Amino acid sequence: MADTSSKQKRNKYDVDESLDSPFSIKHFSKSVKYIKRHSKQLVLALIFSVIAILAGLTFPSMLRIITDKFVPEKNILGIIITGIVGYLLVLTIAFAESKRAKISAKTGQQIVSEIRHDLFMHLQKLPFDYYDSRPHGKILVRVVNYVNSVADFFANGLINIILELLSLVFILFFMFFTNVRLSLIVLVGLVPFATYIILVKNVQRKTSRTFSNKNSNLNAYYQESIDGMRVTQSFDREEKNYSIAYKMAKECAKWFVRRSLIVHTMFPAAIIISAFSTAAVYLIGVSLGESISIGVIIAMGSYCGRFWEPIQNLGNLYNSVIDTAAYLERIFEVMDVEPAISDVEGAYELEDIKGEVKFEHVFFEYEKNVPILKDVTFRAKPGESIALVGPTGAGKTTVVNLLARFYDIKSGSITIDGHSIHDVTLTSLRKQMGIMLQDTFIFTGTIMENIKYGRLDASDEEAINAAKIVSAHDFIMSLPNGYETVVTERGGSLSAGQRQLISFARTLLANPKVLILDEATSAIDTKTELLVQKGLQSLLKGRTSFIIAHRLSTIKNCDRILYIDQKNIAEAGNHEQLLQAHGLYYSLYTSQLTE
Amino acid sequence: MTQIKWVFENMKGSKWKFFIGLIFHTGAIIPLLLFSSLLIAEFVDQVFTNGDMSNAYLLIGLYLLVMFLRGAAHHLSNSLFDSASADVLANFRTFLYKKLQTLPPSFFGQNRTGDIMMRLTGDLEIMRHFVSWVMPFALHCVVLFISGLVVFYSTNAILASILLVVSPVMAYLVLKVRKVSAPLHTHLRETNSHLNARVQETIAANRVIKAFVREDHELLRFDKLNDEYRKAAIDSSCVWASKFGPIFGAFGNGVLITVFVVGGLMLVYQQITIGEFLLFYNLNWLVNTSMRQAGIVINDSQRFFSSTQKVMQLYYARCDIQSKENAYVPDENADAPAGKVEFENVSFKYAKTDVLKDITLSAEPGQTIGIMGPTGSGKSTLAMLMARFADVNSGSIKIDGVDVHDYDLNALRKKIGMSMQDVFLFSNTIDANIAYGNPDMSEESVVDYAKSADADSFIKRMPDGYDTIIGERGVGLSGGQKQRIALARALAYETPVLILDDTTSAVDMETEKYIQSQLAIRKGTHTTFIIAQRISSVKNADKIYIIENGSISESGTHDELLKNKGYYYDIYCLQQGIKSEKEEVR
Repeated sequence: MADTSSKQKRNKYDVDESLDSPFSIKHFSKSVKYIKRHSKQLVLALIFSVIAILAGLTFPSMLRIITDKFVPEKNILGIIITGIVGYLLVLTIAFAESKRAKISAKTGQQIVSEIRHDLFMHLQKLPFDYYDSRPHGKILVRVVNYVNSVADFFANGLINIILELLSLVFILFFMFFTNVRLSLIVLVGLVPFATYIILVKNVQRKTSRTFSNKNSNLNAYYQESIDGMRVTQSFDREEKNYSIAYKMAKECAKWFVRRSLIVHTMFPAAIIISAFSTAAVYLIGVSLGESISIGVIIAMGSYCGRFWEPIQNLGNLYNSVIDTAAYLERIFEVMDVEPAISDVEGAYELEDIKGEVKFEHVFFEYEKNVPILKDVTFRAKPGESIALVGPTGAGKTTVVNLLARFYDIKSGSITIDGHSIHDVTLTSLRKQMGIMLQDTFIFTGTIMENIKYGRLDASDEEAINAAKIVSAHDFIMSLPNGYETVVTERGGSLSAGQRQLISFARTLLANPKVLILDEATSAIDTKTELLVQKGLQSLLKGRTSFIIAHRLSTIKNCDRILYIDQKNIAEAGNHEQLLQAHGLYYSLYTSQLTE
Repeated sequence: MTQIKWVFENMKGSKWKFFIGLIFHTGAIIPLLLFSSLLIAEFVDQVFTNGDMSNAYLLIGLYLLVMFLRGAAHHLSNSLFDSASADVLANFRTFLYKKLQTLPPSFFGQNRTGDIMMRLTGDLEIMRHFVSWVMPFALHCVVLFISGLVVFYSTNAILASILLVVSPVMAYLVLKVRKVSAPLHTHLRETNSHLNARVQETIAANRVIKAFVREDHELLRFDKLNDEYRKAAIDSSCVWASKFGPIFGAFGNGVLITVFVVGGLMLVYQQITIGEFLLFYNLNWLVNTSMRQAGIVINDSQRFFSSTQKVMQLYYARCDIQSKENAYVPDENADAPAGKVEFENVSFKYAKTDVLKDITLSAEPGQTIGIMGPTGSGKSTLAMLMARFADVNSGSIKIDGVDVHDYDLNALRKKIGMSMQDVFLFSNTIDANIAYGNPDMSEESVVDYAKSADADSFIKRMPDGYDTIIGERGVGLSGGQKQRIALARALAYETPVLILDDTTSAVDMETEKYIQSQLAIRKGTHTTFIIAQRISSVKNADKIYIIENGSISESGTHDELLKNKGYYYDIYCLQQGIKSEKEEVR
């Protein structure tokens, strides 16, 4: 279970995401729990609808009473009274329709917002791998576009299906009440219609699904193109990318039209079959001669149209059900992904820690049989600063990722103050750590907001203080609006070094017991870095810190240096000790000295 | 209305589908619909009233034929509309995609991905819907209503006038719907866009969120927008469904009842036949439907207008950086040494702040130029200006003697290979990422360049080697690995000018040394700009420029700069762990 997501094949823009599950009611059954919560409202909406429909159904009967009874009897009063009753019914219908629309819109949107909420919450639990293994655009469409697409189903589709079925029953009742034989004739038409649905069902589902896949591919490609536009422009790839985007758009259009060709057969099939039953009612009605009144035949002709109306509507609803199923499938597929990292049963809160970190015989692999770390053992005393050095890709970042339990180890144990990180809640574990990642991400918002992301309840002074420690204060103040300057995802006018300083301040503000700095200062110039270091000295006191860096000036001052190579710790000790050892660290150090 | 015209302009090549669809949709379906009602009325009159069976089978046969044709016309017209609308959508999509490719980084700095995506997805879908459904249906409703009226009048003027009485009221209501629903739709669109942008950002920031355990905080932020969207969606759907829809419905049904009463009375006084009465009953239902649908059409049109507005903004977004007319395209076969770069008194401002001031520097073909300086001093901006991702405010930049403004933009960028600070890799195979600028490159060359960037060894160790698919922004790779792939990509682009912006900051010393030696082998093939923080990265450069606060404060070779005892010397001492002589003097 722990590695379900890591085993997932990575997906790119031009690969349809395969769904192996056949069309099943299962996807709808997953939405049952949402529907259940609002069953009261849905029933209420249904009741209002039924009122409106019942009132509407009396119209043909009024017609019949007028033509069969009042006109031959020349009963003018009867006609007028029928009219008055009719007007009252009209008002009732309007009232009931209005109520129903309001309730169902509210309920539908409520259900959809709950699904979206759960989906988003679930996404938050999914590990890095999930995000790393597919284009972000494909995740986005699920949360926004697909959920929007199913909204109408929950608002109206569901109620309408029940309604159409109910009105079918009512009409059948009225029909049989009027004339049994003619009613049976009308029912015969259902046989060819059912046959048609069965024939078309699978093709329609396949095209709907393919279309939504193509659409999702296109969205993913567009989104990535937007994010990577500068690279595209500098590599003069516009034409090539354009031709890819062009092909994808055409592909989308092609499948859309294919889907349309099938979808639009539903209505013609229904009206043609309905025409045959209407014709049959009239012809057979006539051939039955005197036994049936004109009024009855006319009313039956009218009911016949009314009988096929809900069936046509059900046909259209069927189309939307098919589409909804395709979308729900995608939505619940995300919710079905088990978070690879989650609290174990009986996980407890990690109380305030001192910061003693122990790795014991830790083995780790991202993909089966490709070991990244082998038998790593070390201990960091509370308050100790530890530098992790070594070649790129040796596993330095992995060590800190494991410590924060972004991934689970294969075997061995990692403990903090004697508590296995596996047994404590993720939240309580990570809350005591300050992690500055290699890739700095700046949120759209002010610089102040970005720094306070580290500790949401921090005061402005505290945030500014953190910025001062990392020497970010001066450059922030030189910006047009100081701390209130709005920056964007892509950092806007900030340089890479400036973004690092901001996310550094953010990490410090979190006031963690264990501090992890992964290349925190790689884009910062040496002088600024030195200032940062000075600020850090006082701050590091009492905190266990792990520092990944390449610059020796950063590493040298650490209490202990672990040289990671060949999936394990190759050398350990402080700067002087390692230099004397004349090993890997020594050659690294001398290589950096230029002469 | 300009929006509708604009959509038609973009229907090029598919207009015929749309108009043939219209012909069938209104020109065929409506007459067939009316005809089928007339046939039934005729049947009832002949067979029931007169007891004449002679034409009964003919009438029913005709009725079946008419209904069949109606079904066929329905399928044909709707498929044509969908097809035309799919073409319009594809046209807009590809046009906007192309447009986005011409926009400079400043545009993408100001507009969030989520917001741009909203225009490319939701807004365009609303426009497509307008073409495939709203427009045909609007016409359909109008024609249906008018022809209903005509048939009514030719049958019985008194009954028909009932319809005329309610028409102005309906017209008023239609206008009212328009006014009320417009702001609600705009609001809905806005909230949807905010939600989109929020979700997009949390997906992109998933690592940071986890690192700071901010899942709950993000959920709160998300819920707020989710809730706003929910409310907006309810408001905008209720304005029609719960307010105007029932009113329209009441009018329609009211007309029906009135027809019953007046028609019944007329039947009593033998002013009309039962067949005519039935015709009214049937046709009233049709006219009634057309009135109901008119409201939906208006409602959807409002959505169309507010979405189209947003799409138009992107469509007509001003692009400040473009190739000028008759721009210079260098002769590819010329063997003149290429890669000379000259900056002359270049100044650049961003948001009214000076970023670069009066920069003058030059690089001869094949030279290596080092650039160092404090964070935010404007080093990366130099690279931006060279490739015209932004334009200088004054001064000039020449590449091979031609001002960058005079170049064709693509030709200019073909001269410059860049490996940027902010590594962006595409979710594609490593092979495709390295060959990004040169998709037809052979696999051997890809491996060669990967070797030069010291990426080959770790790529080979990956499960699928060069065919390993990597995630967006290269996540899943370590910082140093990303940088090396980006470096290989830049090298594989084979350009006369190569800019390496902090390319090896996340790479360990020994790897950097190796990469340097590889670059040294290639020396002379490119003019190389190395922007770096490490002395070791720039030490061997032919010339090193120090940029502080947007201007060049020092320049020279490594040795010259050391003697100079300025910024470079300070950094050197710091990085070597040597005590600065300056401090001793003090």
